[in-house]
Amino acid sequence: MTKLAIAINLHRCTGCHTCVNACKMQNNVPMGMLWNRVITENSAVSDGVEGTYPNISRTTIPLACQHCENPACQKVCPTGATYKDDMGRVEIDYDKCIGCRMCMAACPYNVRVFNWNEPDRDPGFNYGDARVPVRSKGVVEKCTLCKERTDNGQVPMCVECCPMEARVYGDLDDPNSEISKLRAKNNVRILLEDMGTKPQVFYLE
Amino acid sequence: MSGTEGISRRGFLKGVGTVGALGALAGGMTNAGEWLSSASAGEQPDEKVAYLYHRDHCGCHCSLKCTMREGRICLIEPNDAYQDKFYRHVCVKGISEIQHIYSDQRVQTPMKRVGERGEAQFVSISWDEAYDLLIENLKKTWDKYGHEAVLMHCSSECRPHYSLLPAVLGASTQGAVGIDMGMGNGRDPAFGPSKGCTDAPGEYAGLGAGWNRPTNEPRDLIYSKYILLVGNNVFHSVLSRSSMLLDAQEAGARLVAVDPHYSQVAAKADEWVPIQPGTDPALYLGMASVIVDKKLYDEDFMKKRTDFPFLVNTQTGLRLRAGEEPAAGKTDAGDEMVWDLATDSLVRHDQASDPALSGERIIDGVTYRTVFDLFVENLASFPVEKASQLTHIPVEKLEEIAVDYATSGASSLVMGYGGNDKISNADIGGHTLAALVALTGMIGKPGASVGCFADGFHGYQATLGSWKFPEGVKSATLKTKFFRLPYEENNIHMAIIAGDSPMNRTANYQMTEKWLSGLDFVCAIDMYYTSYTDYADLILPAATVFESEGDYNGVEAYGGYVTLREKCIDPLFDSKSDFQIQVDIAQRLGMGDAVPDSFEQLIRTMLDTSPDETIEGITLESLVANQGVQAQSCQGTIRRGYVDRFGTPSQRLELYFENMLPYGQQLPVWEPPMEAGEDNALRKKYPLYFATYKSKFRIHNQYWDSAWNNQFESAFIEMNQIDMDARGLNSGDEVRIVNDRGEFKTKVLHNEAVRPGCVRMPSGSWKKNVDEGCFQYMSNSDVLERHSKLIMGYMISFNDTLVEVERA
Ligand code: SF4
Ligand code: SF4
Ligand code: SF4
Repeated sequence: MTKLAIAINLHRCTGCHTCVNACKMQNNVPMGMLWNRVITENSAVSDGVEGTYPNISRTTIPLACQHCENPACQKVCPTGATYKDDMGRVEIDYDKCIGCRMCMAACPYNVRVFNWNEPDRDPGFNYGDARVPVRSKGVVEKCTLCKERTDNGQVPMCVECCPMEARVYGDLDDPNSEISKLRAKNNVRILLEDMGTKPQVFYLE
Repeated sequence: MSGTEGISRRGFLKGVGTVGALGALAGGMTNAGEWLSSASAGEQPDEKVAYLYHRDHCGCHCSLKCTMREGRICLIEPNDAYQDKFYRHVCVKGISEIQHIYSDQRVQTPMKRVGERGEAQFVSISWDEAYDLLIENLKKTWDKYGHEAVLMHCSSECRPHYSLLPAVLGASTQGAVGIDMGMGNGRDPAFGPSKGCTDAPGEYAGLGAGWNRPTNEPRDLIYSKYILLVGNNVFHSVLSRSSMLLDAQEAGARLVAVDPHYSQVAAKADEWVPIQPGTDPALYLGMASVIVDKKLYDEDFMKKRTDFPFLVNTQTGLRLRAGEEPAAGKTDAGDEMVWDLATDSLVRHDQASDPALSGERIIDGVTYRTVFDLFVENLASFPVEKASQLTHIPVEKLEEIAVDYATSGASSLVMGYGGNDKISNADIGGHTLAALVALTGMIGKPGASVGCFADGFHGYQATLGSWKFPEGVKSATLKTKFFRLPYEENNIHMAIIAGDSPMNRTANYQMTEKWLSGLDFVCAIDMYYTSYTDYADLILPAATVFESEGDYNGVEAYGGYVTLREKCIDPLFDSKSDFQIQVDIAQRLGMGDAVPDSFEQLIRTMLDTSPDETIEGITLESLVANQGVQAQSCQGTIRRGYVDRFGTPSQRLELYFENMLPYGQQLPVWEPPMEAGEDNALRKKYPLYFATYKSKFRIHNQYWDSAWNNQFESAFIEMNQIDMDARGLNSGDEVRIVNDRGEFKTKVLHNEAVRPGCVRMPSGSWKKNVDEGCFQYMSNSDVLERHSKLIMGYMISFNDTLVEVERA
């Protein structure tokens, strides 16, 4: 079996947002939506901190679909549009999506976005990878783990573009992969572990 | 999250609709379909790929792989021709070009002013009309005042593109710049030019020229055991080239970040040491004190490679020489004398086997002392306690930093250009950096270096050839420094300006606006309506670097590589490439023969006439075959400067500056910042220290209208809770930032990363990004005479600025 995932080294992540725009570009994500974001933990500003000067710290966390092993979104999807594929990715069949947004409410990571209107693109054309399907008004979308790239042996665009080499992509079912070795380390951080969603994406502190 | 949510951008090329009344006046001049069809007509929906180097001024020079579909740029990725991940990079700004290139904020056609200067009211005109207007005004100015009365001024980003026009026009063009050279002014004269200071091949031309450039390239940092970063936020400011710092940390280097604010470098470092702004020179002097007190210095290095043993006449302050004092303009023979302990006699420094570092000598009735003794005496008045009091760094911490730096075995001192480099005592800081090197010998070895890591490569830089103009076709040197034009008598009556240098490279910007208003004619060449374009009589729409008429749009040599800029798309809207604009103007002046007829011809000239052996065999064809990047032959070896000698006349590190005798700075002496000092009485009125920093989403003034980067943040100031509470301010409040020079209005955000007593703001926002005024109205334009006598001349003390903040 294959279980694709991304590991993010939080010490190497400088919160630069390159992966955010890389994802937006690759996947033709419209204005007002992002599949991948960078949050600064417990701060309202991107270069903010936790604590009181000078006893402060900053953690930036890139956040996209965690490709959960036990995806809360899939459980509530009434049409089967959201599914777990044979590469271990959580995907959406846009044709089956009826826009009920149950999945959005169920996802504890708040990483799904909805096309409330006709997609508004700036620039006003379909940019990104030609293989990525164009979504229309009324469907939900989110990180596909760059399905069109990973189907063809390429790494996800956020991994390709991360200037700090903070992101490691690979197969958790391959015990010899770099990502499997990282997963076995003791500095692994799983987001909202108690939700029982079992994210495949994980972070290194 | 997005400022554009809900607004349809489908017809994204509908009209200009940007500044003031511009949209109305220029209405109907553009048509989306028209502009785009020229790019896409006849194209199959298949894709093509081009490679180009992107920006210069972020310091990263990334080579990018661009994919075009139906004639539009759809994907921007790192160039995979690079095997090494250090070079194979792109950043958030590079990717945002997908939108920014096609932005409806672009200057789409030539625009002629119709309102008053500063009102930003323009009408669209044709290129023919634009060129006629420009040439009419050139001729008027030439007739009245001569060719030198025309200034051709470019921003850093534009300068490499405008290699032809200043010569064609015989225009005055910029000299030294007053920016990014504050510390270099004081450090570099001690080191001298680096050319020839190592026997290894490959050079880095700028080292020693006054920019405080790092003596070793960043790839060397992984050999450091201790890295002291002072006022440097390379993770955001030189985003794509900063991963090396984390690699160094993983390889075992201890990273200590000194910064008033909790920068991203501070967050990643092993330790953050907060410091009072404007006191970096005190930190360095305090370190020197500790190193001297604890005798942690490297005597062998001091004797062999520095001027510490040189004998100084205690009456005149001049060094004792074998021959005459070098007359002004004459070569300095570097023939200083020392006392040789081996022979107990006075000899030329290069003949001594054991020069004395200490001891008073009376020679022909005159008392001489060594530079080292004077240095030690000088430091005696600056004990570490004084440094602690000024910097607010505890004595023990200062001692620890000094000891770690001196004893790690391989230490690097890494500065930035954004902090103390823009404060009036920067030269003293730079001079003291040289002193730390002189004491410890931390230079020219693996992992031992000093300088601003503010440009990502700092590796080798091959020399390319340049275009040969016919006899008599040449530019003139601007006699007044650009940023002094508003203040000094000068001969400039007309200006052609490419890029928003006026707002970014001059402080106290209202004075610059007055100067611009008083010129006879101002022509702006730009892609966007920034701040200075409001003052233009004519704006020429420039294409972005992705757009060109011919197949190629540039070549450069940087960081050990030669890189090519291939064409991605035709110029959008009615814009023209910088190259084409220059050729058009030359042709209209009947000087078409003086310039190349295509960029390809220029590129071939630059490659074929290069005198540099390290790029022999690199041609346009070989670059195209190698995805636009080829390494210099020396690139396999890490560049290190001053390995064998220094570039001074004595070939030693010369810490003693005779030309600073009138200012008492022959050896570095503490001096408070001219405005931002803690004891300045002005603090009663303006108690807050104001400085700008380089945001990860902008390159100074670039990208401020990028819709993709504006998803994340727009203009704001940030303050600590203590200062917000004292003024009854809440995050998001609209505030006025005031001092005697001016004011502006924007919103304030709470950020506990900001040091109490400070206000900080991302640099470069345009006037339209803030709600009133301009951030640059506040900054300090005063100059110190001392700086004019240093290698780079006057500096601009942008960050030497106090303000008050009040609810708007
Ligand atoms: S690109 Fe890399 S370093 Fe930048 S925010 Fe994303 S994961 Fe972090
Ligand atoms: S992160 Fe959310 S959207 Fe992604 S798989 Fe898990 S529950 Fe579903
Ligand atoms: S760091 Fe960003 S802006 Fe600079 S050259 Fe690289 S991609 Fe371009």
